Amino acid sequence: MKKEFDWFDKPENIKKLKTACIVILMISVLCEFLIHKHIQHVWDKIPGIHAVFGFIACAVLIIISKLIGKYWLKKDEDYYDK
Amino acid sequence: MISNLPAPAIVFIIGALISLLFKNKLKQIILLLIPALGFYLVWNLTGDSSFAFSLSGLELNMLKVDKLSKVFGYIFCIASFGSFLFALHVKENLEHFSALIYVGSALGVVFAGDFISLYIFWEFMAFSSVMLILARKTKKASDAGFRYLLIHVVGGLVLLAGILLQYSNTGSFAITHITSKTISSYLILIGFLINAAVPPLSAWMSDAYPESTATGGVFLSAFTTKTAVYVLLRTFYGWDILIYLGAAMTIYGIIFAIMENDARRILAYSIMNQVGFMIVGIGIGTQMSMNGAAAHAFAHIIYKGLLWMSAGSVLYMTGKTKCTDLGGLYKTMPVTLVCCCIAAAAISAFPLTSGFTTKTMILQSSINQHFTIIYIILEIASAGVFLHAGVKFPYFVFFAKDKGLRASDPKKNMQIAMIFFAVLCIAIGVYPKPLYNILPYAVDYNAYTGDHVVSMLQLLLFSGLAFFVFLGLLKRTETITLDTDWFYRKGVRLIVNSVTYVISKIAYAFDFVFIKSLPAILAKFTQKPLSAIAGFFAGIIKKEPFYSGYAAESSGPEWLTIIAVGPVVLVSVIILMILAGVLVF
Repeated sequence: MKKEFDWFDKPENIKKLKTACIVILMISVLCEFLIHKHIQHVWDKIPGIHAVFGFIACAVLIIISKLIGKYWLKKDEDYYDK
Repeated sequence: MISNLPAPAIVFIIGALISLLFKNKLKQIILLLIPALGFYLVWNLTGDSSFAFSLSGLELNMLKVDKLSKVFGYIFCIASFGSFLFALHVKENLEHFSALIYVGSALGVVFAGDFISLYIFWEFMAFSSVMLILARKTKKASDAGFRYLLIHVVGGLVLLAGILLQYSNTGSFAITHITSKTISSYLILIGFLINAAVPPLSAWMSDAYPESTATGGVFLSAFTTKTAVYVLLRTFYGWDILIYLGAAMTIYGIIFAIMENDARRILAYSIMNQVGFMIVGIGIGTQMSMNGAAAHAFAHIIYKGLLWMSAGSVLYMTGKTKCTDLGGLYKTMPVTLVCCCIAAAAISAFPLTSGFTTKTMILQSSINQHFTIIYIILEIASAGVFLHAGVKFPYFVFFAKDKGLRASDPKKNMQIAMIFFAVLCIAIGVYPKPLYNILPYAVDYNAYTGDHVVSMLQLLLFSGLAFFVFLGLLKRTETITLDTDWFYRKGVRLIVNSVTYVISKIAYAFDFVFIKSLPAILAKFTQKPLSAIAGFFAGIIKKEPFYSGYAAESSGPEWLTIIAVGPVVLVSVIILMILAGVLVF
């Protein structure tokens, strides 16, 4: 039998992947110093603002939907059959 | 003569009838020829083309052509070509037939020259699309299908009421930019917004689309909401309310998509999120924002179709759609995985994909018009898109925990269709010029400035980081998420139950008072008035039912009554006799 492709199941590969991701994240922030910035809002002057914004926005979205789901809108799958 | 070409809608509808006559290979060729012929027709249409006829005094025009309608004409033909390629192996006649009618009527709406033709095709769309849901042949699908139809019939009636009211005000069925804020305008707007899935009129989509067949979902994702975007672009551009509704929609879609467990339901909510961007563009109403909305609709139909194809492939091969049942499929479905990731990148607007060259136009026009808060909301939504459609969907379906599923890539035609759309996603991202050229207004916009690229990359990559940091909170649970369909699925039942409860209580009270108590009390009172009254009070004091025992008692004379009433009766009789004597003598 052909051996199946299971690269993503090996812990050492996940480790490599994590390192690669961190490097890419750092590059994306450092790139900002290489380009000519076109200031459209005051906050555009702060370096890495879009990175911080993206992270915080997603964190807030995740936490809000977790809370709404847990205390209000998430129900058992047979909810409508009851 | 180019100007006497038939409307593309007619080609699809006649094609649908012809397709019923053939089988196997020949039928497959016809299914692919019809969209190709449709594309050729749209290509050759010009401003003078018309397809008009009169129906009992009404002048109907089914072919009014300008640049805006041509953009949607092109993309509808391309989308239907890809979708039929994906669905080519399906043997069900009904599915292909209704899909052809559905695409044809969507094209009919796009090229409609007056509100009556628009309305006729609008209704055709609702009735043909529901077949793609019913064709799944499960109880859940047929229930959801009928709810879907119900909402669209109501929406259609609201639209019709608006159209007729507008006709009685203006005497015209012409489709023009609507500026007056009258009841008729709002009715038409509501009719359109229902099809665009604007909350709270949106739950039909997440309720019904995921129940469609593996291939039907690909069709559904493309046409209903995008025809609504088209008609809004044509009639309601510049309406402020659309900016706020659209912005709310982008966030609403994300929050629900994060909560969902069903992969196809996640995709339905992300349609809502993406249509939100387009509606903001329509609401801003500048040439750039409207170009952005049209371009984004064009790009969206392709990458969203591709996402539905990959989810459809997984459903087709494994029979499963829930994230809790899926995982680890990267090992055996590489083609599906790669195509899915390309679509996920495109919907997230990664540079070099179609989303980047189209969505950023809408973002830029919100900056240009100084809608700062709206811009911030759209940025949050852009980050959230990557979170739910860009990472969550592929991660839980293809990676996460291996659930031991060993499904291979789907049939060849499905794979080719996915590759076709994936190539288009990248082509529009790398070289957007041909798309920009067909937009309604001249485009003076370059997405690839260092600024745009770097800020978008930062935004998206760090959203991805947030996903993995908060992975614990995103763990899938075997649950469903309530949406506004609760009101007509559960709410109505609650109302019926509570009304029934109240009515039964009233009936019980009537029975108690008029059948059980009153006759007994009256019977007692006529026989033994005083003891009846005394008993009544005694009953109240003793907290006993005041009618208890009344009827069962013996009806013999009562000493108490005779002593109390006797003298009075005696005196009355004497007085009466005296009176009679006086009168006689």
